[in-house]
Amino acid sequence: MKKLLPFIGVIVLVVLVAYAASYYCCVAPVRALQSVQEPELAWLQKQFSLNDTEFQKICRLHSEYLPQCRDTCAKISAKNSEIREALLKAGKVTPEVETLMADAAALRLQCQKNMLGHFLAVSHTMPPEQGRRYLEWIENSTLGGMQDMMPDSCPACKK
Amino acid sequence: MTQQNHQNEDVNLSRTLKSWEVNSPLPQGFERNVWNRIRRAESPAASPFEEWIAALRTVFQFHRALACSLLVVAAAGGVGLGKFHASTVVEKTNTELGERYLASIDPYLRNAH
Repeated sequence: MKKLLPFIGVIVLVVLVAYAASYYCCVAPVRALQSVQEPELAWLQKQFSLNDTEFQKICRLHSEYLPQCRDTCAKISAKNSEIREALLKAGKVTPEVETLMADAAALRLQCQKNMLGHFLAVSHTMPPEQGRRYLEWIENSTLGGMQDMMPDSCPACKK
Repeated sequence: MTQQNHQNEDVNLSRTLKSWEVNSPLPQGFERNVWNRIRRAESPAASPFEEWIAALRTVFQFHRALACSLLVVAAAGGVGLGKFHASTVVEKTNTELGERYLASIDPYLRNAH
């Protein structure tokens, strides 16, 4: 048994080296993705097999969309504050509160329209098959996901 | 009388030993192993590393096929384990990056998180 110890040691060493080599080889591409400036976009490029031209277009669309999205979000937030203040002041739903709520709804609608427009623009930049896949994924993750959540998350629907 | 018998037996024994021929073949590497043993016995005490190397040599000398098979199995097992572990890490990272992309473009998801 003592004579077998060196061999067992070699076996353990081989297992460890093989494990480490295969682990690092498999994990290296995603580690590389995480180390770039915008890993989520690099991930999108890899996930949807985009060439450099398509990727550049999508990066441009992304950087154009973000300020627009931030602007709409800020407007919605400001409108929500106005609604809260008006409700506190009046203590009931006055015509002024209704107008503010309609404005907030219009802003939310605008936000969703912008979002959908961005999704479609990105999908059109991709090759047709990848574009379809992207839209399917994005619908399930955002709009579709929200619809699926409704019956469980809505207290009125539970009753 | 007894001494004479012994002498006769010795002569007979010597004659028999002289006429004895070894016909069966020696095992493979017999001479080399004998010399190795002699060398080991005559040489000063080997270091632990040398002992390890000698033990490994012995394993590979007498069980070459089995030792090589075990090494291949160990390497394959290591690669398999590494790949399995990496696949869970890659999947988790991909999910995180996907969620990060979604959160960057969907303010509703961003607020939900």
